[in-house]
Amino acid sequence: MQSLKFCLIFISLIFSSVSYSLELPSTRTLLTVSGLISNTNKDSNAIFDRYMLDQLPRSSISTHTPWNEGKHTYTGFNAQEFFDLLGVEGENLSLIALNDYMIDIPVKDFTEVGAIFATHMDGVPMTIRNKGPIMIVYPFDDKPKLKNESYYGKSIWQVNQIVVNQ
Amino acid sequence: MKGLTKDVRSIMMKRLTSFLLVIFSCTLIASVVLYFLANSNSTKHVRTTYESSIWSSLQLQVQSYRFVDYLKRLDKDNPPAAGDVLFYYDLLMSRIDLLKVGSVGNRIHYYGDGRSIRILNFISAELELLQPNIVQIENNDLSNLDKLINKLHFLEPQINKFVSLVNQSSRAYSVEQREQILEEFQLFKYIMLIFIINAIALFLVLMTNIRSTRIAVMKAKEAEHQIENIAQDKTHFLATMSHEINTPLDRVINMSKLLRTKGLNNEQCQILDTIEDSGTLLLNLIKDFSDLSDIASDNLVLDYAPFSLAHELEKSIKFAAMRSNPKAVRVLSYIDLTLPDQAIYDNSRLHQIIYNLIDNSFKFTPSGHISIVVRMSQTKAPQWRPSLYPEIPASMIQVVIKDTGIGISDSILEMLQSPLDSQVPNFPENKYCLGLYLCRALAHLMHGELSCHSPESGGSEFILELPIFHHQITPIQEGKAAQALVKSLTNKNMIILEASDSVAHLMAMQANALGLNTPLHTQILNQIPEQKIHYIYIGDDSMLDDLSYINLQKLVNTGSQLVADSNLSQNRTKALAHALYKGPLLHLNMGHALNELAHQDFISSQAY
Repeated sequence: MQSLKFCLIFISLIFSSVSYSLELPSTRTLLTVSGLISNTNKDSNAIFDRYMLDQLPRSSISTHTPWNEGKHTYTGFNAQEFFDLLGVEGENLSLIALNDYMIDIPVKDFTEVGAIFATHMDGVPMTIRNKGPIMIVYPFDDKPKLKNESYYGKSIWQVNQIVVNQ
Repeated sequence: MKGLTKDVRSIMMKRLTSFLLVIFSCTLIASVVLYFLANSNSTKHVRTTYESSIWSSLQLQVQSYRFVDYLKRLDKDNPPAAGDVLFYYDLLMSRIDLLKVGSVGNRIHYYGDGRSIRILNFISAELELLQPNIVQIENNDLSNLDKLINKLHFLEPQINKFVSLVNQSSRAYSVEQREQILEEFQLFKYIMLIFIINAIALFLVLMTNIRSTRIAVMKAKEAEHQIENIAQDKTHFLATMSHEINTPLDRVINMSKLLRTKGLNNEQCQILDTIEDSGTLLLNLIKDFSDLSDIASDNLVLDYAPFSLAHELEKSIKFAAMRSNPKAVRVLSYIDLTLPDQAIYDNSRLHQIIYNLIDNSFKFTPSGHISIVVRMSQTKAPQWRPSLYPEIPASMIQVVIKDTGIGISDSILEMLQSPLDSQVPNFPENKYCLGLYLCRALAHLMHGELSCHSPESGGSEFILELPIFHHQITPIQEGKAAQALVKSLTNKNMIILEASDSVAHLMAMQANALGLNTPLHTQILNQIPEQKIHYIYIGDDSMLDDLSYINLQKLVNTGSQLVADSNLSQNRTKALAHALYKGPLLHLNMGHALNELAHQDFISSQAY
């Protein structure tokens, strides 16, 4: 009886750990993460569709940017939760856009400075024609010292790939 | 002429320094402004916009190539994956969107005189028209694929033209920017050149100024040293001269005194008087010069010691008054008997001041009287103390010397009211100024003050405020000499017969301070007072009539003691007088005279 109870607990633990692993996307892939991550779902990469990204905990920033007139609310998935989910082991991210433009951003820009992976602008999903599917947004209004060419350059849009580096 | 040239040179140097400083400041401000303009945010923003427009136009070209390339790879065996065609189409359209909006869009409107935006709008419209074909291919209907590729090929020259226009405009902007930077650099170079030249010139001018200042300071020090030497030489010369002249002058004065005893007639006596007076005046002048020189060179040492204040004051007044003609000018003194009996001060210097002031009054008072009033002052005593008496309490006394003379001239008043200088000033053309100036300098040296003015009533008034020092305040009236005097005179009555109201008033003050009652002071004696009259004082008998003499005789017969001034006009007064008073009417001296009269039982003329 005792051994049966132990076996049940062990099986339930195995299933619970499976529930934390990444599922495969059911629709078109929007984001591919590779590099120093411990949690993957396809060929040592982690791939996400819009549904999977929308399921992640949310973060928002309301700010002005040089590319859109007026103040807008940008919403996206929480970077820390995203990194935890992926098991990010590096300190830098190489973000690649649809046009193959690439830029390096330190992880601490998301964890300390407050940048987010925006997927929605004013509640509407960001399309490719509107700098989607993912755009990096910094809190320019809350932190005026970020209003310089360095951070404007890091605000990359149409992101579809992330490579985690040392 | 040399001095004038130096002045002009100094002014020119000052103006040059100011001019260089202005240029220095202007170039500094200009360079800072230029630097900030070159690095301003607006300049950076414009530059970024141009870079973004080139980047976006090239991206449009690349994405169009990629789209065509992707479409060319499609066929029945290789159908498009779900969403892929729309993905490439959206990516291409997003590049057009980026070129139309924001600051990049605003800038592109003006490229190639508006041709670039017209081409972009054409490309955009043509691509929008392709959307139904895109959707068709997305749904795996490849029937219009070649048509779509052809249309995209048709758009390629337009895209290339657009990219070319953007490049040309951006290049033109770059050239313009470079030229502007070069111009700014040239300007900056000129400004810096002016700045450096100016800084060097300023440095040289400042160095010259510093050198001139240093030379001027050295010259000033030399001049100061020379002045000190001259002052010392002057002191030495005056001391020597005083010493050398003193002996022969004394001999002249003594010889003239001796000559007076050799039975000379009146005319010869008058000549001797002139010789003696002139000799004495000369001696005093030399002494005054010597003192002034000592004060100017800080060599005059004060001698503070204890003295009987009232006694010494009366001695000084009496000494000064002896030189006067008592028939013409009478001298009276009043000393406040509440003053300290014993005090510490420099008696010889106070004597010198009083002597000089009274002497001055005599010279400007042909007739009338000179009054000297000494009392406590309300002025606060200074913190200064004589070196031998560092902790001793201090009081201020006031000595007022007033005469009925011609008054004091404005030039002398101005000289005495001007700030004291270490150097002896230029005196007005009046030989008596030296003594007055010396009095003021001595008073200042003793931490006192001498002021003077001409009252409306006429004459002149000198007020000396001086600190005196004392351990215990025993008033004069409680001193050994005055105490017995006041006791013997208290409650006795005295009448005063005097033509001058002010003299009569002062005499009454003297008498009252000694305890005497003064029921009457008048010019004539019309009636005999009812009360017992102990003393009668006649200062001026010019107004006395027969009735007055009858009444005076009656009073004398009833035991009244009559004291009269020795210079009276009527012989009847002298005949009645018990005592004749000669010389200055000094306060305590008069008291002693009255007291002596009361205790001596004789009726005879006696001069005091």
